[in-house]
Amino acid sequence: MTVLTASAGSLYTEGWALVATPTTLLLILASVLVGMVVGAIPGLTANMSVAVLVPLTFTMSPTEAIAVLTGIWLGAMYGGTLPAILINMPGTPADLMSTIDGYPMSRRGEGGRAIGIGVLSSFLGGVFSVLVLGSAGPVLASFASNFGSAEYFAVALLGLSVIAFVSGSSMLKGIISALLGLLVGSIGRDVMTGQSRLTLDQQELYGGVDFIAVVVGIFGLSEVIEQVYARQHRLAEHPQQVRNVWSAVKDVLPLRWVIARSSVIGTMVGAIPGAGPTIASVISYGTQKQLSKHPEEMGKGAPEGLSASDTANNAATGGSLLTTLSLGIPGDALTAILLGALIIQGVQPGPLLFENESELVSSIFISLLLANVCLLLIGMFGARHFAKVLNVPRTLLYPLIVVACIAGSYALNGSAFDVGVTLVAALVGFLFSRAGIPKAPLVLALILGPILESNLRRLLSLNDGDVLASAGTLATSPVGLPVLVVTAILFLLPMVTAARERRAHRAGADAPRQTRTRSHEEH
Amino acid sequence: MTTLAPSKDLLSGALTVALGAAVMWAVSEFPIGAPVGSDPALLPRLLGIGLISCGLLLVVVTLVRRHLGITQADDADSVPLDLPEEARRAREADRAAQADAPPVEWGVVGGLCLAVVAYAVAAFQLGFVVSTFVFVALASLVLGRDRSRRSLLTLAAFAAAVTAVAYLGFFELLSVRAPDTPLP
Repeated sequence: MTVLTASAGSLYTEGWALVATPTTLLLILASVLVGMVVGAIPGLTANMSVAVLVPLTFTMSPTEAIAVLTGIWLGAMYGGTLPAILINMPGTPADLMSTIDGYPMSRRGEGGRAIGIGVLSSFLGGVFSVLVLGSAGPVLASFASNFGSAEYFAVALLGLSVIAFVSGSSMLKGIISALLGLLVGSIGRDVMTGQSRLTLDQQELYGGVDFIAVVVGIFGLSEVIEQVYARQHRLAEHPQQVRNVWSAVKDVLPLRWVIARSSVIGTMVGAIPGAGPTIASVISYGTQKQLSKHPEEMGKGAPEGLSASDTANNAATGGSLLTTLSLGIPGDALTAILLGALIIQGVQPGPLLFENESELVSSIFISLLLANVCLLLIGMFGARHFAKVLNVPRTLLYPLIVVACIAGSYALNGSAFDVGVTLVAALVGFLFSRAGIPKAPLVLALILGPILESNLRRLLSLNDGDVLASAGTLATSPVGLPVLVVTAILFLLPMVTAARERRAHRAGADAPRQTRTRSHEEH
Repeated sequence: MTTLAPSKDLLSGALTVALGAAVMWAVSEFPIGAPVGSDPALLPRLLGIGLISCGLLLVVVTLVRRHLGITQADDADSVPLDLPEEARRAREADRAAQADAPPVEWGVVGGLCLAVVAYAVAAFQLGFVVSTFVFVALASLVLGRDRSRRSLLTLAAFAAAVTAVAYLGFFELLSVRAPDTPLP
């Protein structure tokens, strides 16, 4: 096994020179602030805020760019807790579980305490996951440095399967979304032969479709249209009073085991390619309910429920970055956007990143830690003011986002063609929402497509085009085989569950008939 | 058990099949017989087959569900895990509230979409600064901003600020060359 130069310990020290500059520190602070503001507005997701602001990071150094984007991400994750607690509307999908106990707390006048618990739990979960990232990242990268085409192909396939599985009520629609993403990713000149594919003789498409232009359209522009479709621009103001945020400090000690357990769950779930913070918080909340000494209080404003979900969804960020940085396989749609932004910066995530650019990797970890500290400080001191964000007039906000989307997509390559791509992607995103097709698999497939294809074709070439021999290589790989088995289980599980439900449904339908017959016979 | 599975699933399935067929047609000109490892059409062909299969499956599943009278939540943001009872209740309440919500304002949605497309064209053909200012002001009014004198003045100031920040942020800061246009 290759020994990498970046050890776990050095990852917390090497990058300070890159991060400890006034510009970078200011950028981290500002990005957490921006993320919190955007996340606090219901409907505006973390994906959207990161996607729309990616173009602004192009002239930054890789450290600054990743610091800004992760700062926005963390900020938006926390910001989403505010409306979840105060008005029972999760700011981002990952905050769904925070409404369950956060809102009842707010209704009985403990909104400030609930927000404080959310901030402290998010901070502790986030810091824990960064520490795990710093120690597990080099180990995973070292392990992955021996990966060949078979292993990379298997892991990329797993990532796609998981996100298709977890991203919607219909797995079939998730698969369709992923296939469309792979299709868009295959547009352009073939890397191996130089032959153009699916370009419709458009010269601008020879280089492929710009990933960021698609993401800005799918997560930025289309979400504005969806918000207007859902009449969110007509929302009434929600004046809120937030008091006693600091009283939550007393809750941390009694909640220590909840936070510890949820941090572990969040980090582990986040590290599964394709899973993300929403799933992490659902699992964490469910686990807490099972282990709670007072399960009857969960759902009625129990601090442990709020803490379990908020800790886990923030801890998932470090977990998601684990596979993104060490394998080059994004954990979810948001880390796929981060991966795309890093590639534009000339940084290729994967095992070699830890070997060749350990200082940069270290700076990413340190930026994440500092972003968590900013989240704690801004969250605790500024919660009262953030509640006012809920009153930002949407009639001003939505045009602002549209301008950022259009100007940002033009700025990608100084080309109006990319603006057209963004508009088409926005239309597709809107139609996806109306048809109940999840968008995340498309975005993830777009970035995983080239990894999947190049490794599949390399695997086939290594076996002289023999499909059976290539399957044999996969089946005999100590990593490829288990990963493929898990992938197969993910595909089969919904079918088994559906069959079981059908049987239960049939049994339920038969039972009254039998009872009726028996009762008729008795009479 | 009267609600039927959504017909939009049928349409989605049919469109997916059509797209898959279009992909198969587009790669039909690629030479067959190239070594499979270096065949540029390998992935598109697999995707074409996958899209056709999934599209057909979606149509069949929808028809079967319709036949059996099975309804299913159709939600892109849903979580496939067994949600705790409280979360499920919160979701159901949310869905019920959505069902009771006033109808979609198609005029506003269409107006905004038109304004966005017009802006995307005008910003890089006529002039970024003027188009951005006009778009922000117009879109805000389309979305129903109050038209009192005070509100309009605030809107004008906001549009000017957004224009300035967007120009400085996306062109000056990123050193992107703005296109030559008749208007600024």
